[in-house]
Amino acid sequence: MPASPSKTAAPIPPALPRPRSPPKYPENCGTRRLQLDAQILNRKILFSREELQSLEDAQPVSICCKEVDEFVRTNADPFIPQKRKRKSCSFLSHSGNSIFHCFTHFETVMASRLI
Amino acid sequence: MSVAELKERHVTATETVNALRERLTQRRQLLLDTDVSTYARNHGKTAISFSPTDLVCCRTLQGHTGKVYSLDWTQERNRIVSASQDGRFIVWNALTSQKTHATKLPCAYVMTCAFSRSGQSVACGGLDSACSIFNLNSQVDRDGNIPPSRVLTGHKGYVSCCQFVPDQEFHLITSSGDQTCGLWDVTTGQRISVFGGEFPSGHTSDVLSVSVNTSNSNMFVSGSCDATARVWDTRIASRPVRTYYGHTGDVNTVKFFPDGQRFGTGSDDGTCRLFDMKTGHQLQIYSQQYGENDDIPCVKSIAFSISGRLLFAGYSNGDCYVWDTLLAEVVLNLGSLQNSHEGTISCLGLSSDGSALCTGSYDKKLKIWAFGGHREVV
Repeated sequence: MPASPSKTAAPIPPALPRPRSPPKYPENCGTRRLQLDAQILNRKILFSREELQSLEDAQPVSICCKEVDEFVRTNADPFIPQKRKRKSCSFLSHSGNSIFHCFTHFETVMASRLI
Repeated sequence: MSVAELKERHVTATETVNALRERLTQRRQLLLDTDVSTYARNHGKTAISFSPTDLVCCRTLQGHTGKVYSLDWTQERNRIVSASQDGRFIVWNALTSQKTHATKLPCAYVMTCAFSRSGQSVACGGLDSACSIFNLNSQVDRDGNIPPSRVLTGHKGYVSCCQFVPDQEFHLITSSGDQTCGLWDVTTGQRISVFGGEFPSGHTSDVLSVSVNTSNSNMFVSGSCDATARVWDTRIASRPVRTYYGHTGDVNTVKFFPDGQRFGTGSDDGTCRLFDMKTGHQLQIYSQQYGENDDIPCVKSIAFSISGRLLFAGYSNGDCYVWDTLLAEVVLNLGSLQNSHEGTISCLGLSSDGSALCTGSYDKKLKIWAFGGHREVV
């Protein structure tokens, strides 16, 4: 005959501990990165506004082009074929201060004599 | 502030930046009333004309056993230093083609070299993220190499380019793959200033090239993989003076125009451009027409002739165009001349008196070009 449950049942063990859900920590991951990005963007905004301001008084491109043209016109260039007034027949006076021009011209003259 | 609020601020700030950028573009467009070539044509300029023998290769410098990556002339114009994939730098007498120094570098992966103002020192930098300084008067070690007198460490990425400040024997500017440029005192080895890095609004990618303004040595320009060029004042490291937009690819090379008020750039997008330093205007694009399926060659190196009338540009396909700067036309291709290089023109530089151009190539050689034509007399 089965025993009466109320008199002979084993004692109920205490409830097993259950793992708890982790506490809701504030999400710090990426915050620092976002703050830095915000600072970078704020600086970009500042620089862009400064640049806009500077363009209020900026000269148009044509003035810059004129300056480039004037500079090029007023400076001699050893690489550019030029017409010059005759000063003397000397080979050296044609070559100016350029060692390379002297040498190259000399080589060209010698090469043409060999043909 | 919460992450959500920060993200919202980020979105708003980005929209503001984009709107300001658009307004800047429109404002610049209003000021873009011409460009250099249109102005020159309207004022009666005609293109320079070269005959095939006007520019000749008068010297070939042979000795490197690897690609030539970088070269520099001395101020007194008759010596050249070159750095190569073979892990050496060589100093050449440009007139006689003789080598005066040949040194194996501590790090074989060199990317740049430069002469000091006096020509007594050479700086080399590369993948070791450092710049080594060599005194050419030092005694060689038992292997015949000059030991570095100083090693400049501090960059966190490769050193792509270096140049001594023209009127200061001991100050050097470097550019680096760590997105910054540096100003160094080579006597102490100390880095005086850092230009860029994340917060100070510098370049946002590798910096590939620098050029110091010879008219005002406090200013230098840098070119970067972020497709921009930036001008810096060495006295103000916190921010660039100005940023220059326009290129659509890495800016591999930058060089000041001889008047010190403009500078040129060369890029992976295949174009060279001329910018005005003070206003930020893009004054001219130097570009060839290519077909839709063509590989567009990258511009690897540029130099201006002494008057600024010619722009020499070396390309990844071996071309070396001579551009008429005023008319934006190619007047000669050194790459197609007799006795030219057989590979990418990686570097080029003009002698200080403007009479000779040196080109360096992946074909392991350097070549010196000069005007070999006759000047007409009247």
